[in-house]
Amino acid sequence: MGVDPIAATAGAFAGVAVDISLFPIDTIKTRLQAPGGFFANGGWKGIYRGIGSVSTGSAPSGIMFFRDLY
Amino acid sequence: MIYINNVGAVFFVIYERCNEFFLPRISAFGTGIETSSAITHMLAASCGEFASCLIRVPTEVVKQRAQAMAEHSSLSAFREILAARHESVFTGLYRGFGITVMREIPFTMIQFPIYEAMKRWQARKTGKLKVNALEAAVCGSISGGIAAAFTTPLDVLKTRIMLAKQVTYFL
Repeated sequence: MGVDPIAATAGAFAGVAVDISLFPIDTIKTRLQAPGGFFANGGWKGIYRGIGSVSTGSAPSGIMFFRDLY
Repeated sequence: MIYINNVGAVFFVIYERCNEFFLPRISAFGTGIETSSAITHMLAASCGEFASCLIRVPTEVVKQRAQAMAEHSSLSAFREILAARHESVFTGLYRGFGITVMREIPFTMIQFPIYEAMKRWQARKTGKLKVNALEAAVCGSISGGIAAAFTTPLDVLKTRIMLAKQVTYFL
């Protein structure tokens, strides 16, 4: 299973870019689904709240990707 | 495949390994190559989803608590789980693991066949052997959208279980 390191790095960056740019949509979804509805759970305020855990999640999978595929 | 995020890497590593592992063993039962590979893909995809949920669920619990304004930030949500007295750190971080797997597996089972069929259909229509990256991305978004539409009720359940203050049952 050979994977081009440039493609792998590009993939990792693309993943992070997608996570950051689409994060507000994910927040809106969570707030719509939460008990009480959209406005009771924050409405449009603090739309990037929780972004820290998304960036942390990419670290272990990044390590695994390079160890196993490359 | 548009659902690729940072956890997607874990999925594909396990998916590829399981494909290699299961294919000869399932073919040994004497099923045809088409049936064997379909069963193998489904089994391997399920294993891949299970593995990626091991990483996805704790980050998802922390993220959703912060998103729903129950906590100020990811860090404070994480600290809250570590400090909780009414449940262990493990059950706190893995809250909603079962329901997440129950969402991901049907999601994959719906998306993959549609994605593969759409790519074959587009390739035949344009008279090419393989679709290009843009066409594959379009197939991925449409198939992902269909899968998401069907699994939304499970997604709502997942969010509510992860946000609940009290543990009601292990899902």
